[in-house]
Amino acid sequence: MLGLGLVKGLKTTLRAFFSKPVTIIYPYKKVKIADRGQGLIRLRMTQLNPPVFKCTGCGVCAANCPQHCITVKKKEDQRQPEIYTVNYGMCMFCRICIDVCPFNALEQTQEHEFIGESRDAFIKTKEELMMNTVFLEEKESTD
Amino acid sequence: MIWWVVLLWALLKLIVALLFIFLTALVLIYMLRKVMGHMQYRMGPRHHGPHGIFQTIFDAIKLLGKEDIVPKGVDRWTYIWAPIVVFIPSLTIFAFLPFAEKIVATDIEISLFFVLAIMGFSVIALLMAGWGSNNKYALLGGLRSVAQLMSYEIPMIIAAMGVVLMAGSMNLSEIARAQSRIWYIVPQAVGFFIFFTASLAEINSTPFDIPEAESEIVAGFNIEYSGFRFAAFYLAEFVNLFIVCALAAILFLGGWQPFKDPIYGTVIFLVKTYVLIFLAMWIRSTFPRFRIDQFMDFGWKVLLPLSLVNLFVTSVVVLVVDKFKGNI
Amino acid sequence: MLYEENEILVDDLPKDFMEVNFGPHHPSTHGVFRFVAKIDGEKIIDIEPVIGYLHRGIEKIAENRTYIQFKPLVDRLDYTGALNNELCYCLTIEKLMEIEVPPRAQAIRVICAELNRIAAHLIFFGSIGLETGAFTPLLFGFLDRENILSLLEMLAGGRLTFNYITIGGVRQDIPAGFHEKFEKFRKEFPIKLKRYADLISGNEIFINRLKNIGILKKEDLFNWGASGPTLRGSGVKFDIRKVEPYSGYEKYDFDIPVGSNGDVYDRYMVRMEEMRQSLRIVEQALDSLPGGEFQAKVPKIIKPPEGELYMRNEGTKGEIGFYLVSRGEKSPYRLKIRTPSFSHLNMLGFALKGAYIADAIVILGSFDTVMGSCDR
Repeated sequence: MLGLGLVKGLKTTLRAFFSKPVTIIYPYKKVKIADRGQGLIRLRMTQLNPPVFKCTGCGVCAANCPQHCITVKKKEDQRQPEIYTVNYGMCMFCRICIDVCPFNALEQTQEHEFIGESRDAFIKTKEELMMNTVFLEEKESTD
Repeated sequence: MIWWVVLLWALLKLIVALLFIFLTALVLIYMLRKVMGHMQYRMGPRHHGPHGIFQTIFDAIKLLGKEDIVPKGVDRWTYIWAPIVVFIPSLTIFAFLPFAEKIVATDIEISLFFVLAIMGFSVIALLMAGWGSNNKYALLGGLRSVAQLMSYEIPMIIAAMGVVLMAGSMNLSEIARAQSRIWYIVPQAVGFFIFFTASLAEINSTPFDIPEAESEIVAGFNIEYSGFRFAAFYLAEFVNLFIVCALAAILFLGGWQPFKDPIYGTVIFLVKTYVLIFLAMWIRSTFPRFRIDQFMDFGWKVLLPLSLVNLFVTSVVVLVVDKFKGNI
Repeated sequence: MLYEENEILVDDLPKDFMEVNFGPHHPSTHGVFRFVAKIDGEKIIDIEPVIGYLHRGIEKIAENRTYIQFKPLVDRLDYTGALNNELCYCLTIEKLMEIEVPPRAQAIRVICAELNRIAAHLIFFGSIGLETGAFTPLLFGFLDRENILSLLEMLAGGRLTFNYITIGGVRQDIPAGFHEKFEKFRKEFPIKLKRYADLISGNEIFINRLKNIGILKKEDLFNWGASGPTLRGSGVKFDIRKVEPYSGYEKYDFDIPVGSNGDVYDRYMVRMEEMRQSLRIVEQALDSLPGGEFQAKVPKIIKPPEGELYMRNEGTKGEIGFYLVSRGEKSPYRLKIRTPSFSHLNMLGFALKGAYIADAIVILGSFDTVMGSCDR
């Protein structure tokens, strides 16, 4: 019949009108991001006392970063980085740094909401990137 | 001494009427956003006020505060007067609509005729906006709107004539009174379909919003307007929607029947109008728009013959029934 | 004399067609694409497309990055269906280095690619509704795309750009909970497809807008190098997944929808049907997932041997091809990317001749171009 397609279209919209909306009202309710979602990276700590970074400052992550946003410097005789900064203004969250680290020293988190008032606020140093909790056991290499 | 009392009284009625009109436009904009939102599985505005009822007021305040830009090279006179002229038919028609048995601002013998004649004025404003904007998109939009509005007035008027034949008068209050036994949508279903479709085309609402087709010519005739001039066009569109649905409610749904009380009559009239407005918004959320030549085909080759046939059949039936009643 | 000596007749006035610029800022040109059209009333006489507003120099960047460093940038080519780009890139390098990909990784790659294909076709569905003037299909399409993107986030870690398919396999295995979530999606999606058919595909206004416009003939399509659903809408049954199967596609059973007239409506129906077939492939792949590893053993620094290779695969919009010239070093010597959007936009000149303005936008939408892919 001539107008049947039009009527079916109207029926679809009317059914949508009486359904529950799917909006999640963002600042008040948040969607849970899956475990593998992209976010900040953090430096893992070992279980020595006092805990130190697992990172030894080898610089493989900085050499492999496509955007050149990691800066690593260390002194000759130490096994800890002296300067370790990540520029999150340029990072594209590709996670290559996590993949190539030979010491498994980086960890991926799901934090993605950060604001800053100037470009320098996005350059995070190693103190800001410390893991909040001390690592108690080795995780499986799923990261 | 009595003349200034009369003037003051008229001014007061005018202000109340204008306030009612703008309030209606604001309510309709909010209703469109909410209805369209829920039909798309989302909510509309919800932030300002409970369920977002003050959203439109804040939008209007924002638009008022924007810079008044008059682009270089426009035809100054037409550019500046177009948003004002677009309101003239809308506000004038309000004077003739009967809200209840005795509540009508102006009651003349041929009010339906006058209303339909004034509705043709809205073409001028769109053409002024399209021409005066010094922009090719606007020109395209303006030319399309002339073609559209001209060709859809005729079926609308002829469909309304069917109602006039059945009621026996062109006065809007008389037509509403004559529907006390049965509403005219039942014998005039085809007429209602034609009138409603043609009036959606008159007010540039999807599926007929070709003059301001957003995806092709990026807002058509109102591309160069911003700030309060744009708000004027936007409000006028919704005021037109209200008028056209109110007219359809009077002609086909019985206006303020069955209540003769002023308050109940107004309420039931507004309820009927808002049901038709919901139908228009439902159609707006669902259908894509026509192309300009398919749309002219539809107007001239489908609606016009159908309306003529409707008129012919109605007049034959009215004649036969009259003769029948005359003999008895 | 009927007229004065120095009067000008209308026929002597200089005339020209109106030139309208559908500029880079436009709601319906699928990204930053500009074309200048000469129109006569409502018909288009001639157009001149202007591209390059999104040019980022990806092919030049490739010469200064190692192969692993370049891989995240390949996602950004056709960003609606990013995993297909990565798949093509990794296939090129694997073929040159003769790396054998384990079967479990191949099945996971197929799942990712087909889910991404459904997501990209949902964007097409939304945008063709928007171009004809209906606002609702856009929101329906993005609602269902949300389900797919949360599935992909659980699997690959991203929603739009992933960096998941690596040289030699995939980055991580399928997590726990993926099968249950996919079951829910698999039950709901055919109902949604039927709802779209009710809303749009059966609508008379819509069918009248899309039928008999933008008809492309087979000879023209072959001459200009079309591929993908644009080619299949005209009756040519050519799909790289069947002609040169890669990554284990020969094991799965699926049909290839083909149009008959070559107009916009056929291309639309081809893409709608492809969504159903993609769901079929994903179901088969998940049901018959082999065990084993998900990543082959590859050296830490990737250095393909000297040589050159062209490898292609069926992206969401057509044929994506990578032509790699390697001199045995850490970076490619030359990497040329062949994208379908660039070839399809070349066809715009003759596809739009004589069309109405309203039809021109719909025809451009039916080619389904994405400017990240065209400009690189």
